[in-house]
Amino acid sequence: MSCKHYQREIEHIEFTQKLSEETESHIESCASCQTFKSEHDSLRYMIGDLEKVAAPANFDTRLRARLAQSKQQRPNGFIFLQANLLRPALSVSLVLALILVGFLLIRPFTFSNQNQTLNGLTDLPFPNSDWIDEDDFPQQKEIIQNDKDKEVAKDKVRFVDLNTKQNVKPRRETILHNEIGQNPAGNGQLPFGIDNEASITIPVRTGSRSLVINDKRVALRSVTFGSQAIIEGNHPVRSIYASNTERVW
Amino acid sequence: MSQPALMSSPLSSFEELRFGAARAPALARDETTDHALLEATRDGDEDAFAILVGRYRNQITNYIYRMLNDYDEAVDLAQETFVRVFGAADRYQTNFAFSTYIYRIATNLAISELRKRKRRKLFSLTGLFQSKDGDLDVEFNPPDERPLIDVAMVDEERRSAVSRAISTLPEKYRAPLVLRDVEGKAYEEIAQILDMNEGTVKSRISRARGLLKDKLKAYF
Repeated sequence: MSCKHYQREIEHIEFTQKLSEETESHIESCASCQTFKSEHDSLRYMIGDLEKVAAPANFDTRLRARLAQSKQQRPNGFIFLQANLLRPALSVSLVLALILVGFLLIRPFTFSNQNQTLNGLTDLPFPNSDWIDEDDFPQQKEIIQNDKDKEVAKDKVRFVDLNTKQNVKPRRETILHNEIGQNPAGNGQLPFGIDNEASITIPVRTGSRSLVINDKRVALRSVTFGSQAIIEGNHPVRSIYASNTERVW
Repeated sequence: MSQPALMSSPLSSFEELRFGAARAPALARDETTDHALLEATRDGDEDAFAILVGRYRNQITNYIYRMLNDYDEAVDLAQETFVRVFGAADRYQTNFAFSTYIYRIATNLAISELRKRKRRKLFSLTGLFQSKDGDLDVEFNPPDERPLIDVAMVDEERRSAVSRAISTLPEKYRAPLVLRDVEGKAYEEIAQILDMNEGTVKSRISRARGLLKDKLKAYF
């Protein structure tokens, strides 16, 4: 028989068994199998010499708490079984819903080109709404590139009602947050001078995806739950039209 | 990461279990078979389950620890193993030994965790010791070959190297090797735990040992 046969016996003999006499005598006369057995025994010794790790002292306490928690969370068997069966279907539905939402959020605007003159307040087609709707804006997809706007004064903000053309006190939620300064609600002045790298959050109606900044439409980078949308401006901002008010720098 | 508790450290014994078990009745049930205890658990006897936990918690923790080389995760998965045993007590069938059953659950949890880690790429991206099976996912630090003067240090360094080397084995080799050489299971039981035939178990253990020999050459 070949060495392979003897080595297989050396390797896989059960703990309670002894090597056969034939194998023992072969090992005595075979250097290769002696080496194999020596290495095998050494390896077994080294692995067997590993310390036995025990459960920590608080294992049972933690387990008991975990069991109690899992009992509370587990519904009755029938519902549980149904939930298990429905889980794949629910997962698929969720994925489809997410895809649909994603599609709706990124689909291109399809506004008409009418009312594209954005030089004056009266030219803006805002309805009497507290919120911005995408239908409020003409088509204008590009993110503004307005280096020339750097020269625009940025020390003051006015809020003008588009209908009455009167200055108005902005609603507190007009600008919820900006990452540079504090909430500017109430006084009509933004405490931050937007030059570059500005990020502000403005409430818009769910589904809205654009604002007019510096007379240009700006696609919102992201729309979060409910009524908030975030725009990130790497550009000077002179004015932001929002709802029925206007901010002018 | 917590330091592993070793077997020599003070442990909460069965008598200290906090499952509400009264001490005297619990002691009287030390000889009860695992099957009987699980049946009692099924009937709502939490004391019986406490005995099962007491019998297997260290073994399962040690087994998972050798699979993952991560004590905190091993404890967590050992707990999850018992939670699953408890939750599935109603469906438990006595075709296999309870030991086989619980080790199978523990193995599945450990392998699942290894796969999660692999997906997360938590481990080395160096490809060191990458096997041709392509599923070797842990960097193996070769032993420090400078002479060591203290025997205890040598032993500790060797144990550490062995432990690391095991943790670099591909999961399909690691589980059979740990069950055989660490847990001391018979081939038949390993085959049942891993749901494969004995021939496959043996060949995987041979392969695992071969890989370990290569990695631990310095210690032979």
